[in-house]
Amino acid sequence: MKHVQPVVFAGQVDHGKSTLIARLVLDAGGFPEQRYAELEAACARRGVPFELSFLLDALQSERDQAVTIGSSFLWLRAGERAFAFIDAPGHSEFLKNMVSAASAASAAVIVVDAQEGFTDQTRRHALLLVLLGIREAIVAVNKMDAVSFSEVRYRALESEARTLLKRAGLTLRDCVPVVARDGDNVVRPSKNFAFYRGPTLLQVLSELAQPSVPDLSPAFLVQDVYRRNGQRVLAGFAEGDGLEEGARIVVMPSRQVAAIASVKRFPEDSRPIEDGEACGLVLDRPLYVDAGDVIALVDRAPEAASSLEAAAFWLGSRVLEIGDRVTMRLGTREVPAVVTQVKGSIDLTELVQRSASALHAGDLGEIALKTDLPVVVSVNRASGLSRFALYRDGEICGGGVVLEAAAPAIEKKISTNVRVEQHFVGPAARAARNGHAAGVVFMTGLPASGKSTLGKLLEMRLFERGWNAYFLDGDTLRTGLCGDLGFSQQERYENVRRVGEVAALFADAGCLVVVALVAPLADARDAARTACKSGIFTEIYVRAPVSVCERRDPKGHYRRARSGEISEFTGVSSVYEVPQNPELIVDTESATIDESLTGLLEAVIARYSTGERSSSMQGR
Amino acid sequence: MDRLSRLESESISIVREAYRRVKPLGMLWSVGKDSTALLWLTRKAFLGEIPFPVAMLDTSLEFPEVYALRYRLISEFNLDFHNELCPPESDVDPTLPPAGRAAARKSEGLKALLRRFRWNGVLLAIRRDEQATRAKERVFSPRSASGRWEFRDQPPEFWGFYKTEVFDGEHLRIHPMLGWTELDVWEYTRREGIPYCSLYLASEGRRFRSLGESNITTPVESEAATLDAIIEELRDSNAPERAGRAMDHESEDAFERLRVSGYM
Repeated sequence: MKHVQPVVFAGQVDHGKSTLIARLVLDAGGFPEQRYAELEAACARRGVPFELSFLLDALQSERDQAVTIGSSFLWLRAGERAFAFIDAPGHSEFLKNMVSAASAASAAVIVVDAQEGFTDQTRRHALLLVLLGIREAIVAVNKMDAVSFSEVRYRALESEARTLLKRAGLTLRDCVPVVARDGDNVVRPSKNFAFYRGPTLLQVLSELAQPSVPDLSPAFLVQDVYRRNGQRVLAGFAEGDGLEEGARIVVMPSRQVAAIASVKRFPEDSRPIEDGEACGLVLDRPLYVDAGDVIALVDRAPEAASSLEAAAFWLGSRVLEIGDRVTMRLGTREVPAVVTQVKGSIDLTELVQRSASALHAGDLGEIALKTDLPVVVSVNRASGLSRFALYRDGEICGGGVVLEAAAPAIEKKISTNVRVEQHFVGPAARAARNGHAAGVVFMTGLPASGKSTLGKLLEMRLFERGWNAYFLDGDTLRTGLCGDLGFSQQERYENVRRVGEVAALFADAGCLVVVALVAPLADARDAARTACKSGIFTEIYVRAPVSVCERRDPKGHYRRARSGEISEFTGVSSVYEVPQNPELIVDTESATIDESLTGLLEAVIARYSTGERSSSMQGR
Repeated sequence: MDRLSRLESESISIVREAYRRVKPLGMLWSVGKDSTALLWLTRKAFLGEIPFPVAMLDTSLEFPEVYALRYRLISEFNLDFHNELCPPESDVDPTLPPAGRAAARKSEGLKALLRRFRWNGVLLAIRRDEQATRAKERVFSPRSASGRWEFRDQPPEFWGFYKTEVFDGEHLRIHPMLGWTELDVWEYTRREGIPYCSLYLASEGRRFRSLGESNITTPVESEAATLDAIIEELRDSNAPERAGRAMDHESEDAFERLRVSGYM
């Protein structure tokens, strides 16, 4: 089979969607005789005339109530073409089934009852089709026999269809008058339509263009990371053609640059990656890459953002309001988010957006979201990076597409209206009273290299000298201020940035702050240095080889990292960028704690001492 | 990419999503063409291995050819295999028609299997085009502790976003091949060179299109004695695939009742 065109049938309940699909398949010869006999028997048992829609409405409750509950699929091969017809329930109660059905389609047939005409539900379906990515639709005006095959009525509906679809953002491919129950104009042309000489529904369907491959910048969406033969294999799928071995790539949103060392498939095959393909990647250097990251060509990378504006639909029984927290999945990323704005919901009768404070089940509208961490997004609707789902309590409650995206909050949030207050007590006055300069002693190194032990001893010795010293420990801060952060590249960066900001505040208050933090990333340490404006910053590299740290392992972390129980553990499964120009290196491999401390204390006193002494603690 | 490659990639992404989000996870394998194709693409998803157990619901009434292929592939694919012997027919709903009762042994076997391994998710190779109630299935389909399928209240799924969280006592049936057709499976089997059971090939004018327990499965008339001939036959035929499965046809709602109460 070359290609199967998935076509969804949408519209108001009882306008004849299931019957129309069944008729298409029956008249095109795709209906097995055995099933036909089974259906005849089922209808006879119920004492009802032969009911075509039972072909799709297979459930007892659907047949008893003569309504489609679950979406359904029926396949048809007609000549050179093959179709998957998708039946979307029209009842408003089953809207989530309609969304599920329509999202699988590349084209749509909107079915409308000639007598009843277009309803709010028909218009809702049309808008959902657009949101779900469908560009053009066929309108089938059904039950034409009930209006005596009236040309006037048909022309009125055709014209309304044209206006409605245009306002919804859909192209009207064709409008076809039909009688699904009897088969007029479905597969066979009908003599009942004196005014209509156009194609039958099947002919129109057969002329639908095959969905074209969208022109997308190549991107690889990381779904998971597997370890194979000592290598980290990034498992995921591509959109757009063009990623291949040797390509220079950037990992978003962390902006780390690398090259693709190899493309992983089973069995081995190193051809370039195609649009839509699921495979694996190995990079040429050991970077942190998380599920949810996006690999792109260096010069064509999508942007990261944390403020999003979106067109959305809502299915949840509880309304969506400003301030609500939701879990967002976008591409392969999962991130907590908060609704910062409900801009409006669409009035289904007039098809205009009206201001609203909430989205109710079945509503479509525009919302603004702020994500807790930056996400890689695209505003190109053909890209998977533009589409998201919203979850509450583990259930999918809505979805939508990104219309606009703004860069992460940290860069954007600092408004020009905010200015730094100048204190009436300055750093020099504080240093004079304390008898030492303020600042940050920033100790970085592998886990178990001895940072915290040295930090606490340093704090004690300085305190004994009468210094206003305070020890800030990375693990401790993770229980409070940084309790929302994990260990991804981005979250590690944010962790260090926050600790740096807090340390800078202490320093501004005159303290000598001793920070002990793994802080594996040079960029993050530089951010901490930049934050320390009113004191002296001292970067100290507490050096010990991994093998030594692993032997110490006081908390058992290395052991658990080796067994895979802890992932992304610095030194084992995650890199440590060795400081290139630290102010001091303290070697804890060969020296004892006391020896290390002595050297450290001397250096700190030399650097921060102002020559004056405070009165109270002197001489201890 | 062509249709088969696209289907394969979509299924691989679903299997990987299940592995990432639903733990512990297992897979059902009947040794039939569909679940063997699923096994095949799962090996591709994880670059040559299957990182979770694979189980067969065994009624002891499968065909000898099925058992023979099973032994061969367990070692060929290096499977972490478990054989779940299904409880006897006396343990199943007595109001079901005879073939339905025989089939319901597998529903009970599956429940026992889920209790044994405490799986929160199980991968199955059912397809929408097989049967009208399966056509209404979701890719990630929640089941209550009793295995009941709440078809009236299925979660929405779109663009590859699924309900992946499992609440107390529930489990997820995960269907990576829901969108494949019978013809797709055979074309994929041919393209990839996937091993299949010889019973699918015609012998003396008859072949099996769908393999179930030997007591409730009958062959259909066919001259298709090669894989190419099967594919040719399917291109021209619209006879239903499960015509030879007695359990589907005993009453109008036979298969629905089986599925609602936990059948695959």
